Amino acid sequence: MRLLIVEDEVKTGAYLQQGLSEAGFTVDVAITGEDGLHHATTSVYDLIILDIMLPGINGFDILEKLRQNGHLSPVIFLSAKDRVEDRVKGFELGADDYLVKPFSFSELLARIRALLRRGRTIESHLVSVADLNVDFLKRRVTRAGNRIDLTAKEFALLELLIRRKSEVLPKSLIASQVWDMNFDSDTNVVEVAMRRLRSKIDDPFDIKLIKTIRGMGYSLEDPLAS
Amino acid sequence: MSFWRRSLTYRLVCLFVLVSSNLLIGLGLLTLSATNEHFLELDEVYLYDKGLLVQEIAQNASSSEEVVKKISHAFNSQPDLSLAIFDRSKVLYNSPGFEFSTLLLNQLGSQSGAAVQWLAGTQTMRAVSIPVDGLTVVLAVNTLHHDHFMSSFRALMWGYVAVAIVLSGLLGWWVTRRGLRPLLPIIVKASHINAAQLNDRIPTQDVPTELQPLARTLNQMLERLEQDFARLSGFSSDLAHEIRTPISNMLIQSQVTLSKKRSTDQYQETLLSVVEELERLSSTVSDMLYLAKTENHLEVPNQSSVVLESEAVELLTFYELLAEEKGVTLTVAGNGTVKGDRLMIRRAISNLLSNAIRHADSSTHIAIEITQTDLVTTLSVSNTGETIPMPIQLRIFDRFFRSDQARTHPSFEGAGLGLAITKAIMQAHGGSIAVNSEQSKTVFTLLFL
Repeated sequence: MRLLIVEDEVKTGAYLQQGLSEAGFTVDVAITGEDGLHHATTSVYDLIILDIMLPGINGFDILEKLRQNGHLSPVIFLSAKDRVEDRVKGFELGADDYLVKPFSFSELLARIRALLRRGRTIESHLVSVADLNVDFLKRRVTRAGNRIDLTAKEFALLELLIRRKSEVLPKSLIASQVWDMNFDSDTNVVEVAMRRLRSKIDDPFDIKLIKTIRGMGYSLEDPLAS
Repeated sequence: MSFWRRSLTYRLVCLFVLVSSNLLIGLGLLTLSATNEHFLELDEVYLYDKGLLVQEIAQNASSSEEVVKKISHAFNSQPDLSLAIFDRSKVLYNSPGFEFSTLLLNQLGSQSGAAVQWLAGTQTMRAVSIPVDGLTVVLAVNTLHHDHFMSSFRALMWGYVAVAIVLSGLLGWWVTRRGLRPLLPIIVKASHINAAQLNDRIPTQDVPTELQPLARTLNQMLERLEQDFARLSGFSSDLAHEIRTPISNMLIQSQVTLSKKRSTDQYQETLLSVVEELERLSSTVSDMLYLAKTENHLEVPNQSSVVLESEAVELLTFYELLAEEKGVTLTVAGNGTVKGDRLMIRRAISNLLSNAIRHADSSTHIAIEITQTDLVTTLSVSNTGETIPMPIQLRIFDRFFRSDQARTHPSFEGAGLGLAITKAIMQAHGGSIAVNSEQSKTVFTLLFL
């Protein structure tokens, strides 16, 4: 997967490149608008990350030119501007996502993955990770043949973790996807919910599937598969 | 027009002049016409008096010749009186120096009894006709001395009126100047007040009664400004503190970590701690921005119907895990629908709920109650826990306000902006928030109008 980052803050660009490369992407960085537009129109990228305030051509202009020329790669805007009008403008021009600085790296990664996955995966209703089997249609969970009863929210949480297997999911994303809490809540509800889920899914078994990545979030993966 | 609106002096002078000129001109016209009327009456009385004399003389005479002779004799020595005696249209006698015409006789005949005034050359005459034994005697008096008096009286009168009008204008100017003089100390005082001296007040005891409301209002404005300014200053220093503390934590920690070679675990530990500090800092900054936008109405509430009960129930599913951990039960009762921004209202309720759970005693109950009447809709969140003392209740909605307990207690996280945000959200919706805490029961109420 090839990504292009257009970002004039050299440090931000470099760290994003490092982080995303380590997450398995091939990443190019442009530090001016002209450069970015040139890269975006001459090579093929699976996703483009655009800063809005750039020297020369700004992010909005780049996106406008790309969409005019028929480039349909998903675009994520990064910006310190969080006025509603800016967001609306971004989406109107055809952006796929809009992240306000400061954002956490895991949040960006999760959103990139969600965009790249969009429309491509055929979501099966039967999924298994190691010896955990989930039937999304019947809403049934078994591990090592034992039936596990989950509450509705626990099931929603597990579903999110499984659907986005091996991805680090930040707490804010979990809160917004599972509980529709689209603002920071200064409580540790997600931690509590995760602890509950673990007590049913992981605690009775030797192999632990849910991992806490400190400072980043949670992920579910088969530790033996990787 | 703009000047008219701008200058109070000009306005008052104009009003003074308008009132006094109306008054004086009216009075002048009245006096003049009354005087004129009076002279007319005097002339008529005089003429009729003489007429009686003529009739008396005529009665004592035996023939018309004698009548003419006697009358002409009697009136010869009256210089201001002219006389003519007619036998129908034939002139029997005409006093010297004045020519009576028959035209006049006809005019007098048609207006029997009344005095007639006419202009003869340069003189104004007034005349009556009196029938005497088949003859007609016409008596005329010269009104010259009256006219003379009237014209000089008129000149004097209008001169006086003009001077009086000018004087009243000047008086208006002076009164305005003098009337506005008490404003001067207010101006001087107000011009000296700045941000550093907001505690100065305009003295109200020397100010005239009419200006006291103005002075008091200005003082009240200063009072409010002083309070807001104090709050803002407090806010700035709080803000500096809120941001400085995590920054200095991170700086110290990173520098200490870098001061010698350490194991990977130790580096990881440092980075994690830095991430935690940064996350807190970032949420403080976004909360502050949100608060500022809400307070300044940049975040315009989306007007849609929000069903409070379903919002509360959804929030319960989020918070009930936390509540269970603490052994606290949550319930929602009642229903109500309000107009507003769903996300903002949700945030407001969420803040109250997380506070309630944080401060609730274990094994107690938190109740969300919704009531709706024609006038208001309320949503209250009540919990059982330590009573909030009155002085704290008064400041609880201030930004960055945390009770001392919250400052030292590690689990009392958050930047202390939750209630300030809730209040700002309610104000943006035209509503309000209230707190009541007594006997271990604390109730926060959101009021939607």
